[in-house]
Amino acid sequence: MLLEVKNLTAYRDSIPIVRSVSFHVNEGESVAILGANGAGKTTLIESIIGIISEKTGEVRFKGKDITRLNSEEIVKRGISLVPQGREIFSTLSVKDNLLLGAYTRFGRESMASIKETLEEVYGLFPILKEREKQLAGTLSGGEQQMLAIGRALMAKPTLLLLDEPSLGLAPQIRAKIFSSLEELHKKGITLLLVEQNTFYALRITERAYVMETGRLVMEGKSEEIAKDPEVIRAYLGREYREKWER
Amino acid sequence: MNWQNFLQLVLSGITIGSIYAFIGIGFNIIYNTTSIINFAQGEFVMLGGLILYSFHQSFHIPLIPAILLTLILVTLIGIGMERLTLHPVKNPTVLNMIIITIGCSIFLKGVALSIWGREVYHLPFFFPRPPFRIGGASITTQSLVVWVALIISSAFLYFFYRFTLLGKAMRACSVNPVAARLMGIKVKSLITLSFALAAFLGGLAGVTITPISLMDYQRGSLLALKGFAAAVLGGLGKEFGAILAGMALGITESLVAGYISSGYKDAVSLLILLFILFVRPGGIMGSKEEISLREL
Ligand SMILES: Nc1ncnc2c1ncn2[C@@H]1O[C@H](COP(=O)(O)OP(=O)(O)OP(=O)(O)O)[C@@H](O)[C@H]1O
Ligand SMILES: [Mg+2]
Repeated sequence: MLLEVKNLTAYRDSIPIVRSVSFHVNEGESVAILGANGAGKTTLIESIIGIISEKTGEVRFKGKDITRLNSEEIVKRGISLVPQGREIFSTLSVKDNLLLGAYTRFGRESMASIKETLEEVYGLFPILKEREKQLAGTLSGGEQQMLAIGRALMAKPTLLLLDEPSLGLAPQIRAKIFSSLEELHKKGITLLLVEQNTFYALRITERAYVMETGRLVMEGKSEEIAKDPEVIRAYLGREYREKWER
Repeated sequence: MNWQNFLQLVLSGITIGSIYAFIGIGFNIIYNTTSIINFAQGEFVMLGGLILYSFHQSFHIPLIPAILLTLILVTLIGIGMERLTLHPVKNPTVLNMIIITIGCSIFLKGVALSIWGREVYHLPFFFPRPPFRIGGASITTQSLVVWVALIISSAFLYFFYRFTLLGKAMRACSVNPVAARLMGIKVKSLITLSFALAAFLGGLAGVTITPISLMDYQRGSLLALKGFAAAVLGGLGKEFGAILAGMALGITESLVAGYISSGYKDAVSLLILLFILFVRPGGIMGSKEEISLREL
């Protein structure tokens, strides 16, 4: 098990938002957490990566307890997050955003290996290379999302967490983002994808959990969940059904 | 109105404006990593002047080593202040932190009062030469020292922020501190670094200005107020905006003192500050900052 979460309860302003959640992600897997607005997905992700410190339970990564570590430490150990809303550094150039993604690697690794990762990111998203010198804030929404993903990849994570990477994007760009995630997964990165867009999320993952008001209410193979009309009716809603039937 | 007199006033305005610029930059450096105004910024300036006095005049340490020692000491005081008072606070709010800096300011002033008393201290010019003359006006060697110090420090800062990883990390931290943490940037260490930089610049301002404007334990506060006016006028968070704004304030002040009355000199910055805070709380160049100021 690469990531193991046991009985995690996470609070915001002392209010428990995520309640006693347990789940795991195996090495090389691609896993989705699905859930409606306000289900607590972001809270769960942020408590895994250490942005939220008010929590009980246990988070283990590569067999080690990381529950009490701060996010700087956690990033160093190989987890990166593509946060909801992208959160790029808008007044810095695209290239500087990417280089800052490799912040923990400077001094520990050679400049050449960092440059190599940069080229890989440019290979995945060629548009970022074109816009290298531009200020990140001037990019379009889709380009900003690619930048946010590229920036997270610069840390060379073992586990990549993505919080609603398709939010607010046009359909073609959404497809492009998801196909690049598929490509990453094929290269061996373990993915934990939080999404409301269940249609795509189930297509690019192997397993999925469904979250409702702070709890994980079901788990299954993505393929099977996608075919199960009961589940879809109960948890995943109309948008999914329409797309699937089409 | 005679031209030479005017030029003279502008030149002295630039010198005093450079000091406001120094202080304004110091405010901005800390504001950028923490979103707070460091009310102890003026005390760094005061300490710069008074510590140099003691090293140079009382302990007879030669000027250059005395200046270096002073700058190191003031920088350490800045680091110590942050480490001892702000650093340990868990989940601090902006208001908490500002109140802490006010406490530090009072404390540092108190310490200075007990060491140096109420006396006003004076230092000789670094280069005891007659003033240069241009266009009928004169520039003292010490004014040149102040200008050169400002130019070198801003060039250094520009290089630091644009071209070094640490500088970029500091900018990232000011745009989005949470995302900065996600990159593995130790935001708290950068806050310490920003206090070190701000204290260094404050100390440098104090060291270079004391031969011109004299120094006592409470002179830092008024300088800080004007430096703050420069920072706000230039747009909070914009290091280089503060330089232009500081110059503008210094020159205006100098002209008011020369043509109207030196009694009104100090009122200029205050009036400009009040005016901006009413009309454009984000400063003449700011926009995003406007929102954060309103949130205060
Ligand atoms: N500071 C807070 N205090 C109390 N409750 C909060 C606080 N911040 C968020 N919440 C609540 O926590 C719940 C979960 O929020 P969270 O952002 O984790 O949900 P989410 O599943 O990511 O939603 P979305 O899909 O909209 O991003 C929401 O109901 C929200 O209103
Ligand atoms: Mg969310």
